[in-house]
Amino acid sequence: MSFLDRVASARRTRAAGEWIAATVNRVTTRFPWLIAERIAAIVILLLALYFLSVAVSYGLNDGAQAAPGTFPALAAAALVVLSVIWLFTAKPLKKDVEDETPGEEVLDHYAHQEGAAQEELAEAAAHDADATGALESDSHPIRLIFVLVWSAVALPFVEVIGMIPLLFVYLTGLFVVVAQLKWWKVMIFTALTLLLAAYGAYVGGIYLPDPIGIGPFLYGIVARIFGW
Amino acid sequence: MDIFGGLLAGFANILTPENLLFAFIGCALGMLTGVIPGFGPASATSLLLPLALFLGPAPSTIMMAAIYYGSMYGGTITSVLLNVPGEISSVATTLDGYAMTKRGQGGKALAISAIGSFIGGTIAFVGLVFATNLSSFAVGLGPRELFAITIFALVLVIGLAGDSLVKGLIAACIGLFVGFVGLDPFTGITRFTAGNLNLADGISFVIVAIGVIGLSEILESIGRRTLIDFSGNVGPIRITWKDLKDSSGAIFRGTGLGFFYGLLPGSPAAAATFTSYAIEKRLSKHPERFGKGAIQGVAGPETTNNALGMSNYIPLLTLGIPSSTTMAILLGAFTINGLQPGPQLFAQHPEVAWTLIASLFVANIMLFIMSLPLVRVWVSFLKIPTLILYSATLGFMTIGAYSVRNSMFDVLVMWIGGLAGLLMKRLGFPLAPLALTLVLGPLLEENFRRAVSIEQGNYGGLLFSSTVCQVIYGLIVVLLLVKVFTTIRASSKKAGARTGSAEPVRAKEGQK
Repeated sequence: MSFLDRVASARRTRAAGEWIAATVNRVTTRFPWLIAERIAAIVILLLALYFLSVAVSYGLNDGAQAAPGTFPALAAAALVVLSVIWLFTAKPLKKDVEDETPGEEVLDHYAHQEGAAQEELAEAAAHDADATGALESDSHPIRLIFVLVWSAVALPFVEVIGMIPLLFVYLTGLFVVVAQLKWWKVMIFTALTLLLAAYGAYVGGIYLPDPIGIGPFLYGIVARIFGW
Repeated sequence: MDIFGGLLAGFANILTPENLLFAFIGCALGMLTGVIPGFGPASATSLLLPLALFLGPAPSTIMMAAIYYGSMYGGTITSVLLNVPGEISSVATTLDGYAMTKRGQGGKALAISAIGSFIGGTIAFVGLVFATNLSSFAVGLGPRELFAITIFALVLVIGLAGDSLVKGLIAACIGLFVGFVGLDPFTGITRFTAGNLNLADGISFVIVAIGVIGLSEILESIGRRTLIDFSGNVGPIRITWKDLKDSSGAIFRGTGLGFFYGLLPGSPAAAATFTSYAIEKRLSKHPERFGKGAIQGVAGPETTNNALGMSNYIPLLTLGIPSSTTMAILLGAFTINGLQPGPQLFAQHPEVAWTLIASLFVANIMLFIMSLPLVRVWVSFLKIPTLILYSATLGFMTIGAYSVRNSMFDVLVMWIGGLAGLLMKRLGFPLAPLALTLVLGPLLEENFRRAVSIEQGNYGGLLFSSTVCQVIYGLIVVLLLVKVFTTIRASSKKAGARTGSAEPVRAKEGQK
């Protein structure tokens, strides 16, 4: 069992998951109107109103020409109307609906496509549900959360330690924790791959930040070995 | 430049060692990314888009076209062997392709796919060459007509590609707003930057494409408990004359069907491949074999898909309208090299246009050669655990996003785009309209403002001053009405079905 699997099955993680589920359940029981799609519609509506106000501030009419704000204002107005329509027509996400068969979403999709016969559609939907439904039902949020948190923590240090050292640390972390590879194998493989990538970037004229001067240092070693 | 002169010049350009190498690298990279489970041509081309920045216009278009075609071939491998379609249009292939793999005939399914794809691609190539004549008709179109055509293409894509019209339109509007950020090309003022200097130059299409399409796909796959690793047997990679004879009808029908569907902007690739599957099943003497490993069930949809992939270039090259997410990304590759596909491309840069067209033929041959004898090499990549591939891809994407403008801000934008894409997928938003407006947004606004200038500020004239515009806007209204009508009918049918299925349950409960 990997580190992330152990985290996922740990008592505290499960307790936290149950707490989140209970909180969501409490909120949705108290405010049944508040479903994920409607929350998203409200966020988009607010953004659209903000865009509209900003677009209007750029001006709407410039004599015989369209002002810089005209087209964005039209798009923002359309977005306001669309988000209001979505707000009032939103349905619970399919996952939330217990009595929905797994292939129904896929069948709906194909039903909109023209031409194909219904029986093939049904067959395809059943097949696709077999193929993808199983994958979607068993999500691994801990793994995803780790990747997001690790990326958020590691990547800002590019300007501090440079791109190649940072990618070494970042990828080693991903390979060891997410892909469950042996750390010493990962370190050798990652170091060699990144050296090749750095050389490729140098040849291709791509500037990679290197505040600690690791590039000249490595070049010095290679130059000494080959007597350049 | 006439068609044959242009084509000969295109072949002369592509058949240089340097350009052949770019085509080969593109094919190999496309195949490699195509075999990553769950990755379709759109994700693959978006991941490799930064490569287009460092090459000239001709080499980058050659390479991107080869990547696109290569990822289509590579995607077939995962569809057949793993039952994991890279995109919705490959689902039809999995129906019989995976059934053949389960019977130990995966190699045969891959071989007939490659042969069908090659034949379909070659015949569609001939059609593409002659269809370039359409560009001469489109040269006379002004900003009003181009604006109307772009709106029409958007409505087609939104109407046909997604389930929800409203969500499709919202996605399109979001794409437009990403395009608005930065300097206004007409007046030079900065828009929607919130005072952030990093946004003054606008948000790069490359970054958003990598984030919204590529990164979101990786994040979605990482978040799954069940991962797809191939450990099965491909079986012998050969087909008999009988197999070829059995599949020949499916291949030629698939070619015609795919070519026809590809002509339409917003062509629904899934509908094309399923139509092909349905036709083959109807025409077969043994329809009961379909779904259990019928070779025609692989040959038809795969040929259709590849012929469609080739004829999809027709609206892109002649009108500048991308008909799918992948085509929108390819259009992005053109624009970052200062080229604008459309009627003017053949007038201003005929050498690039014809080199691209010739490169499609060369890529088709290369991929046919690479996919049949080397299929075991590509299959060996499937044996690498997917989490290793995803982790490595995250590192590659970071370098790719950074290298666009040497800016960590772009890496941040890529991650924001990735999270937004993931959220949009979870909420059921189609990403094709967003990709389309990302690329077409600036062009749409430019044509709008030029048209308003021509009409002296009369917005009504924008809609009704020319016959072409009147016809196009009329068609748009009809399309929207049809879409609204079919949506309402489908939801009322669904509600009816639910009520029907609830009745027996209630009856049973009553008996208890």
